[in-house]
Amino acid sequence: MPSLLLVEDDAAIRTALQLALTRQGHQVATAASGEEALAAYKTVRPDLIVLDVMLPGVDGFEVCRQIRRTEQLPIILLTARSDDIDVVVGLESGADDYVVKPVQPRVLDARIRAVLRRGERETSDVAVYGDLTVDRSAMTVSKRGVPIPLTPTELKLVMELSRHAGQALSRQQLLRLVWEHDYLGDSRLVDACVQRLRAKVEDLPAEPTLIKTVRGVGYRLDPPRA
Amino acid sequence: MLRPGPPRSPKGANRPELPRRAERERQRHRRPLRLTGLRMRLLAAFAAVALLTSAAVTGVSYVLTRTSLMNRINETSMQQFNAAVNQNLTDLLDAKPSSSANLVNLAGNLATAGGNDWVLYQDQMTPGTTKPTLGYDSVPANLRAAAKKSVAWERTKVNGVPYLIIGSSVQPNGLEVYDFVSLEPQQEDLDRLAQNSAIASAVAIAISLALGLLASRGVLLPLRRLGIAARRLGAGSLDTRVEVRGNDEVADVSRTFNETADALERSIAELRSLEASSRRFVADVSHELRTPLTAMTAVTDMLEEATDVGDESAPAAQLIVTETRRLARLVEDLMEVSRFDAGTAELRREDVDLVELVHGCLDARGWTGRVALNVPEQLVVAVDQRRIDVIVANMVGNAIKHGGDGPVELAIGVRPPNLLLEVRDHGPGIPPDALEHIFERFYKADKARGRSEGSGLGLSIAFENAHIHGGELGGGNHPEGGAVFTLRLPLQEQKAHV
Repeated sequence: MPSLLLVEDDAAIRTALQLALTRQGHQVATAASGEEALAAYKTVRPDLIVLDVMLPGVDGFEVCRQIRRTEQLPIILLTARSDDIDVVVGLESGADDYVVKPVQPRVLDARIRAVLRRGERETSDVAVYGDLTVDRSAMTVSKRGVPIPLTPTELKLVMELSRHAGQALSRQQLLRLVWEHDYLGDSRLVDACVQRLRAKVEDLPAEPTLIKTVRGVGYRLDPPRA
Repeated sequence: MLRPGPPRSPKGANRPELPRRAERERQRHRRPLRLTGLRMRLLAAFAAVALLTSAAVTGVSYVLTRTSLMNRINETSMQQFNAAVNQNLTDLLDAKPSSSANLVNLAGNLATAGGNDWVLYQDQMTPGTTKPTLGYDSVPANLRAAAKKSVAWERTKVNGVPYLIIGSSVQPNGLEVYDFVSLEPQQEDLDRLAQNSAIASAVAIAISLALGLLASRGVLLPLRRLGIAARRLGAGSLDTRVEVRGNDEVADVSRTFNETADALERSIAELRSLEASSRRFVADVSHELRTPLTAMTAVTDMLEEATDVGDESAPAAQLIVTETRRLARLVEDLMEVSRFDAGTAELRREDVDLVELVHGCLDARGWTGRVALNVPEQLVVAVDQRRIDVIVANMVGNAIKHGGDGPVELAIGVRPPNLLLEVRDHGPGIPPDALEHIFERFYKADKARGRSEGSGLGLSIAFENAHIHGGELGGGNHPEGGAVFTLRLPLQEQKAHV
């Protein structure tokens, strides 16, 4: 049973979401503030965090950033659509996905499951891209022999890109493959994740040699060199 | 409760009317001289006054000058006449009818004594004259009659030359003596006087016209400025003021204008701040409503499952579920409207295949089988896909709702510089009196229906979404029946963002 940490300051929303998510088959721990969340995630060790952005004190972005410093566990943000900037800042802080309030529990559940699926192993092989080694069976990525810690979403993105190595994938394609958003996906999710991924795997993130941007199309991972 | 003031009609509906009217105003204003205009009337008045004054002055002075001139010449001529006659009285008395040459000599003597020209006449004698052009015929008949009785005079013209003729008769021999005093020098003086007066009058009129122009400028320029300012105020520049100069009537009007403009600006500012605060209120209320709604929405699914229990609380639970979703939609729409009103709605363009987007939009709502598509294979455009999805969903949703059982048709075409997306139904169409209101907030064409599934904001949000793309959403009726909604998106804007 997946274990979740729900961080939400409004008691009614917290209770309601806890009820709904429990009903969907999750084990839900809750936190009412950013500080509480930062303390709780170490003891609860959740598989995923559902994080409200608007929190009194330490806000959602800060919680996200602090957790990301050490952990790769997936984070889904709860935002308001009116605060478009929230989405951008949230994704930059390292969130894997976001849902807009008021959220349908079914939608949130689908997102949670999609994120959790990204960490699942697949039976495949090892591919080498320059200094980068992508082991699809062990679900690890290492650079010059040193393992790189990636979030499940980043890992899934690398896997999908390497599966279609040498082929440009559009943002909408990647949204379908990685995020499992089938319609009206937010392409900023892809852009933000690629940025984070580049920061981890490229020598010079500003001049990427592995994950290339294909203008007007999307992104491409170059095929392994001989 | 949540209505944001009176429903607004969509922007831009009668906007093209304004510049045309302003242009007309400007042209009317530019016309230089109006015959019935103030300027012409002022100039005519000045000219008339100048003309009358100078005519009166020169006329009176001419008459006075002439009279005194004539009186003086009468007096001197009379004295000369008497002196000359007295000096030659003996010869005159001696004049005999037999010696006709005598009269000529006598006339000569008289001329020597008194100057001027003389004519002498006696019955049966050849008249004596000092000038061949003058003769007894030159003397008017009534002067002849008067001269027979005493000394008489008359002014007359002989062969076009003005003369003062003084006449008398010497008794008892009945010799008539006429002294012809030429008035030519005096006439010349008078003529010159008249000429000078005419020149002076002309100068006076010219000066008065110039003064009139100046005076009319003094009145008309401030009037013109007032007119321009009033027009600018009417066009919406509420900070327009005019300069108040001096303390005359025009200054009064200018001051009044400024006070009125002040008052107008104040009321408009008050109205705007009222409007802004009411909009803020709507935004705040929607925002506040969202928190409880989020909690309620989170448990609606569970509540829906609970309706399966079958007792009488089931319909109640179902009602709560439906209405919660409706309320959530309404609040979302209100927040979207508030963003448009506050100008914080953001356009996030990216390259998308419009055809794919339409397929996705219909699929996501289970409408695929209900809509007949006439679309190209692919059409990549730079748009905000969420906003276009909202527009298409509204157009198609409306067509399905109001189109009866007939098919709904969706067509996409490129007609440079625009892209057109048209949705047509085969229902009863839009009632004519509703046509201009369909994009208004909370407008319902059929009042009897009261409540519908939508929030009542759908089409107005779709309209704003088209607008923010630089496009347009229009609705009307097809000549063959049914309603047609057309989304026009400029292709030009696309390229800039590719």
